[in-house]
Amino acid sequence: MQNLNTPVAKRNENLFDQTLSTYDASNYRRIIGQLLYLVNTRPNISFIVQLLSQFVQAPSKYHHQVVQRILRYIKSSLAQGIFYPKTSIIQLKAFSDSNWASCSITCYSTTSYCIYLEECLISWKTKKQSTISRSSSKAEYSALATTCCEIQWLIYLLKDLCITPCNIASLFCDSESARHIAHNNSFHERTKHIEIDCHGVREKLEQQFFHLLPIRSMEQPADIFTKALDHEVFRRLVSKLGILSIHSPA
Amino acid sequence: MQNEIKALEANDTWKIVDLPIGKTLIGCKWVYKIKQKEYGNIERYKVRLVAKGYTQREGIDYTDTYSPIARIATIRTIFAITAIKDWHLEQLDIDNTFLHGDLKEEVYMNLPPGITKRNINQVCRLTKSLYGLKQASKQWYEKLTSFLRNISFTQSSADNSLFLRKTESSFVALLIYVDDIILAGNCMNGIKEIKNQLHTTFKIKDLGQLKYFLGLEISKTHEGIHICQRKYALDILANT
Repeated sequence: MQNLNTPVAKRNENLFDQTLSTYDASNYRRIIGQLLYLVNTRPNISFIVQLLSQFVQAPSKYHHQVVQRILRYIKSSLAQGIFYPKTSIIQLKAFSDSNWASCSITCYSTTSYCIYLEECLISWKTKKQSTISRSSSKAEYSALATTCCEIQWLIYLLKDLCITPCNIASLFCDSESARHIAHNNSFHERTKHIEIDCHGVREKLEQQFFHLLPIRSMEQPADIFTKALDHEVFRRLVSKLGILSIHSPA
Repeated sequence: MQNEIKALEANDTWKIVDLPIGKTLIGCKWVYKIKQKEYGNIERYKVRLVAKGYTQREGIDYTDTYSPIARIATIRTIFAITAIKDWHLEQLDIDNTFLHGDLKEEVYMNLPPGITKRNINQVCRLTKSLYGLKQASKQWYEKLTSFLRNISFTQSSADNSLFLRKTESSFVALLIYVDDIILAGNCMNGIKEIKNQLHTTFKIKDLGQLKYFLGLEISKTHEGIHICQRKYALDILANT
């Protein structure tokens, strides 16, 4: 009997093994499609579902095994979902993270973010970046740019809802160099190759859309969206995301 | 079926005309459905006339088919704000949604089976949209949004399916997901007023407090709001 405290094992090298033959692709696609919708209230399986959905073209038997494990995890936690406590306040808090060169086939990095209204998780994303980053700072910085766009959208949405946040938004990023690039306005030989659109971050920062703040990697909740974790860390982060199970009367 | 034809005629869905030369026809058919209750008991028999939209040609029988739907992040944001501000959260559903839309294009359809032709050239010229037409969802969306603007709602620019109305005493947000509508606001009277206004133009089913929406189960307690997809998860497991 496998330990089912997490939806995915920490080591999954076989996922990227392209020599395995394709197996029952149509079934695989159907389940992945269903899981993608289930992610709406279960951000904790977001990372693995995102990863598995990259193999719908030619899934191997191994991918099916990983899916089976997710299904078993779901079975053990049916009523798991997001909880919005009444005691929360309206204050945007965003966490941005990336995993450099996480895809071992293409060497693309992964962007991830999660955004809260203080304690209420309202938006998150985990996505493979569309260009190769030459450094981890570059990967972090482009994750920052993506997060920044979402924050701006949420600020507009709140404004339309006639809600004024208590304070200006805070954006947490655990990469010191990415924070440095965002703050530093002077021309930088090293950051020349970073796409122009990424520098939207600087502009937004100057316009005081948000504060850019440091966070220790250990405390970074967005970690759960970029990699498979062991169950200690997983459990800690799940509670940070505000995920709770209720035992609703059946 | 005869009842349905009467209802469609009462709704001015079509005019019976002779087919002008050079125009093409689209087909239609009746679709029968047995609505079951939870344990498989028969609730009612349902019949619906559908147009064979796949025979429509782009640029002639239809132009645009796009209609926006709400972003899931918008939905979650509204739930979170409702929890924090202790707003009311209500749901309603609109009957025969797609039959409300007006058609701009000239669309001719065969007479539905069940209506006898007086002469061979007789066809229906559609004035309202029908299920199955390519533009059905867009026409519905336009009809609903123009109605909302008339009753002094403003459209959110952040999410086009979100509409807002602010008065001195109340604030109501209305979110559209095709024929499902969520109302959230700080004042129950404001919400009731909007429901009544909607009811005068469209036939609505008031589902009361929001409990189940797009497969999300929403439970509101005195501590906050919990959303989960328990039923949906069970369905996934049952199919594998």
